[in-house]
Amino acid sequence: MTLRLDGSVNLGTFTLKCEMASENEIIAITGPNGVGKTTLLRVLAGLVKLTSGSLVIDDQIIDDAATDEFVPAHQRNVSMVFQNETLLPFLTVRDNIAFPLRMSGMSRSQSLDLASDSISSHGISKFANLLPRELSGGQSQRVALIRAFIRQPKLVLFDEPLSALDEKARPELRNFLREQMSAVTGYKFLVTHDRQDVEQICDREIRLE
Amino acid sequence: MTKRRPISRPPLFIYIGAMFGVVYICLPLVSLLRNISWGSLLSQLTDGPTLSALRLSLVTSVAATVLALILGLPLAWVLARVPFRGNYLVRAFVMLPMVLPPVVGGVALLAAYGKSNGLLGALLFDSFGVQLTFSPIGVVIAEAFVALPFLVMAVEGGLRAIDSRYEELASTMGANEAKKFYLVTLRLLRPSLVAGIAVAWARALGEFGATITFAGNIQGRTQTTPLAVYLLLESDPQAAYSLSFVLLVVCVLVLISMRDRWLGSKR
Repeated sequence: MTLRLDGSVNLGTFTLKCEMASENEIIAITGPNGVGKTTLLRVLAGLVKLTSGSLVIDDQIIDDAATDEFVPAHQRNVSMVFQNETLLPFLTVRDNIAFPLRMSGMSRSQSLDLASDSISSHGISKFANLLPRELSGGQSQRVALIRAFIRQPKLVLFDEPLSALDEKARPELRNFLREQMSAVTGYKFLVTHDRQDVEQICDREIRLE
Repeated sequence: MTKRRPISRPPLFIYIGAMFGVVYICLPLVSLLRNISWGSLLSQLTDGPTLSALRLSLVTSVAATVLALILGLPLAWVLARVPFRGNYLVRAFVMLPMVLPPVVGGVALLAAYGKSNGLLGALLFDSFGVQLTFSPIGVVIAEAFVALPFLVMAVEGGLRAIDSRYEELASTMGANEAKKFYLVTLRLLRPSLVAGIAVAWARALGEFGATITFAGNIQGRTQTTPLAVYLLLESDPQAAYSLSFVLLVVCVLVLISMRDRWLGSKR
């Protein structure tokens, strides 16, 4: 099972050929600001089309500039988490966690039940009915991470999910991230600036220059 | 975000100017209230011609707002999100009724929809016998014409202010284009949409110049509240004051409903 990306977008060129032996690797994406780390995640997510080259996952063409084949974001089964403001601001914690389930075709009540189960198993029941703006930075990133793993994603794309947190909140969430990411079978990318993230969470590092 | 305010106090003439500004706006409004005979307010408003003007205004202004919404939402969308050459030209034309003298708008509407030599109106009349001028539908057309830019402006601003990351996130969570639109974009747009609807409706309700030019002033058919106010001022000033009071109250309510957006209270 491999993910192969060899292409470019208008913003810049990257020829990333990452052939992964195992799906379960957690790959750190590092490199200086502006090198295209976030763009790389957006290409993988299907938010940006390649202007040349192709993206192939498990022998299936996901994005091919030459043939104009393109699987849109909502069909890729991806989970994205940003540095902050990853939660939909008008939905409660429970509704946020239920959102990907509902989008996958599950009924409203069933998705809310599953979300509630997940919320209580993570010990954050007291946040269930709060809106994102009522949470601290660490709390909302935790909810975002819980949501990211609520359905088994094929592609995990995290863009500095811990970097906006203070030093106190970071180690705990780093452990949580490591556990959750390890439990998923799929392609897992973590953009980070933090050496500790690379060393403690990731199996391999790809440095963009 | 709290803005930093200057520590030094402004000179005296600023205070005086500001005070006269407030008085300038408030004096006529307070005087209007003073001229209302409160005891007979209700009977005046429920009097035949007054009531029919109010009823017509309510129906046509709501219809005009719906029309403005149907046309304005897609228009605002294109202006905010679809890059194309001449974007600014389209916007300029759409915003024109905001600054155009309403009577000119009415004349232009006659030129387009008039039954004898209107560009489209003649065709409509000859082919289907439909006459838009001097009809309640004409009132709606005139009101929507002047209200549309207000709606477009509010919604376009709202669309530009939406953080597109939320929409992208919805895509990554499996929302197709339709779900993304209904569940995320429209939801984030709601405050701007409500504000746009409110100002467009207030503008439609107060429309005078384009309406009287295009739809005329037929009591019970095209005589809306502002037109009735103007006429009643001659024949029955008390009723004119009462009707003006209704329009004033409605506008104040619209403003209050948008206090967060326009008056900047809170935050």
